[in-house]
Amino acid sequence: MERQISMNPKRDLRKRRLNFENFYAYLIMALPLLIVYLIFFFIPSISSFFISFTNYNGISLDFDMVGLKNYQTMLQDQVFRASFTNTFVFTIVVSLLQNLLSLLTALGLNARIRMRGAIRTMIFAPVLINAVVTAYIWTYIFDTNGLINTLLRAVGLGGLAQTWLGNPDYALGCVIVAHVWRFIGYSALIYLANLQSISSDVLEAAEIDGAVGWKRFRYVVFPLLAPATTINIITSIAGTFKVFDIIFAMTEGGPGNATETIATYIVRNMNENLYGYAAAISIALFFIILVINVFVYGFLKKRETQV
Amino acid sequence: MKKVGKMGWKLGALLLAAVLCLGGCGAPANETDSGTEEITLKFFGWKMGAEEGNIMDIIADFEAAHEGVTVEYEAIPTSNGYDDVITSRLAAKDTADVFMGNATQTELYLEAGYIEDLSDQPWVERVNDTLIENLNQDGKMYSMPLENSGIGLFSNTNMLQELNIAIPETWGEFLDACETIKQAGKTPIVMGDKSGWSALRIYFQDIGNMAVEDPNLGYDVAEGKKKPSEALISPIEKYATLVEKGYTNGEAALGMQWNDQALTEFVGGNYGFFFGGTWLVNQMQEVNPNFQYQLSPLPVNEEGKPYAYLMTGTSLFVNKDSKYKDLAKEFLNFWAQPEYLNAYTKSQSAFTSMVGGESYEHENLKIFADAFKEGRVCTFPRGLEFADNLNQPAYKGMQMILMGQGTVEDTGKDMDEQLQKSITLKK
Repeated sequence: MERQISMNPKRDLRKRRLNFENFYAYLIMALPLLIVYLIFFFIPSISSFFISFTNYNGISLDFDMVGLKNYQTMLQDQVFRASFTNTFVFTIVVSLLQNLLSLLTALGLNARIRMRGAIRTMIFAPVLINAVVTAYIWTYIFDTNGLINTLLRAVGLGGLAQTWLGNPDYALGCVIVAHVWRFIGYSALIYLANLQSISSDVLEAAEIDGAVGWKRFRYVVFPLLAPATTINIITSIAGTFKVFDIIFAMTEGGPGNATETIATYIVRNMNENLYGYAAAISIALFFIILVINVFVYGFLKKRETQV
Repeated sequence: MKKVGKMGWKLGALLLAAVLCLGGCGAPANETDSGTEEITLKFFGWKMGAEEGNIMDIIADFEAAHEGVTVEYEAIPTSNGYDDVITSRLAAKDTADVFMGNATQTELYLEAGYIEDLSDQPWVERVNDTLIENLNQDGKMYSMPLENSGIGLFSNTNMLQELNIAIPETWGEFLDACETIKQAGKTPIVMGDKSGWSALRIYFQDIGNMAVEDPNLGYDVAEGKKKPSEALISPIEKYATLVEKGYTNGEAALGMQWNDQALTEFVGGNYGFFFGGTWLVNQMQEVNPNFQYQLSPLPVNEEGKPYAYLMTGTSLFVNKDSKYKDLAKEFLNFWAQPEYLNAYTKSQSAFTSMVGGESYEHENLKIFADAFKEGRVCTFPRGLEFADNLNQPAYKGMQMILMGQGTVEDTGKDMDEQLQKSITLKK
């Protein structure tokens, strides 16, 4: 029997009542996740917003509303400013480095090379390692008697040996290296999936038109990787702005405030029973991530549509 | 519409059934064979594994002495967020009848109305004077201190003997000892300052000493009557002196944890001194059983004898909302009996919290123990708990001094700012 296709599906949908077939069955399927989202994300987020206007100390429920005091203090807080600068630098450098290196990795893995499967697994493996374990691995590498200093001494460059994680000039860079190492495989996988979806017809047509090598990458492949770039940039910005675990395990935010990020500073304030203040910083972090992501997402989406 | 309504009822009924089933899981009150009501006393703490000491023996004996009483001990290590769990449970009125806590939290617990006044309990008159002074809130006791831990100066006695150095008792003697070790081509002090712990020992010891002379110091600073950059700057200056004279392991300290790499380096025998606590004795023994050392009070004093710095470790609190408050207090009384408390104190390598109590004894702790017995002790200044986050700018400033990127004045300025922030946000 031939099925009738509606000429105006929107109007049909409005006319239809919600019933078990078209709505409630799906609602039940989504319900467990919605409940989890509500309990573990939505309610805490709303309560954080409320707490940010109080002097809640994390223990007593007998707290006062303090208006914008937490936010005003935040603007004058030097450590917050330092943590914001560090987070911003961390985000920019990680996002650029991670995407550049993972793009190169994906291009390499897309070629017909031997043991491609094994190499892909190896590159993706660090993503599966817990952040704290990653931190321990890299702490050993950067240790005073660790791998880097040992190698430097072995090749006669002992003068360059450093207390890498203890030096305010290098500590943030070291943490960036560890973080990027961990996520290269993740981003590379997304780029690789996008690369493999590019039609060979397009590439052949480009080749016929004379676009080979760098030109083919610059004018054909790279623009077509726009969807993967969007996903990778957005996820790395959101992830790096909230970075906590790897930094805390490697440097605890030090030396001084050299690697203090907004997230480590939030936890530090919670440990001092300044929950209201910590909540205000969390809210500020939320809006910072939101604004930056909206801006970057808008830019990258526009780029995608231009392609 | 009718169909949806039916489904809604079904779902509602299902949900109600689930709730009733779960509700049914709650255990009803039972009675023992002799008709006594069966009570479960909930006890929440952080001691587990080797740290548990004789806690389970105390519980077993208490249960044997109280028919129908079961003590349910639940432990979460501090590293796994004990503080967060206990505060959430207290706020939700869903916590244990007895719980372990840090004595420095007493004021906050009290403000929130979570803890029971224990002033009338028989063990209170046995608590040692320093602890009474430090723990009382407006003359009342709200916790039973179980132990005192000591923090001081570990000396490599082999090295000191070789260089004919006596264990230092004043800051001047300490600097002289460091100079002699340095002249002998060794590094005098090994510090682990990745988290600023070693550097903070000088800070705590010095402000503890100051508070012995000026008991109001902590309150005056916390209330903004005295600026940290003036009243608390002496330990920062002392630390800067050690760095400037090259008596520490320098920037290597910033890559080390005090209780891991720094301790291992010290026990290796190449350093003269190390700052640490009484609880490290067993760890040192395990790492190098042949290592010869002695713990003494950290001599930051200009003259006289040094004070042993004490930290009130674990304390027990009774929940104000407990249904079994009397039984909970009885549990504390039972624990406070010398046979149990002494055994517990020794199992924690700690000093006793009670007058006449027995402490952990070890030949390598002798000098420190003597100071404790003489009552030559100091603690973190009362009142300063309010602004204990001054520790942060203090150790961060010291880290920057070590790297040559900060000064004593910068650190003082940062401490002043932190105090202002603390006053603004907490009041």
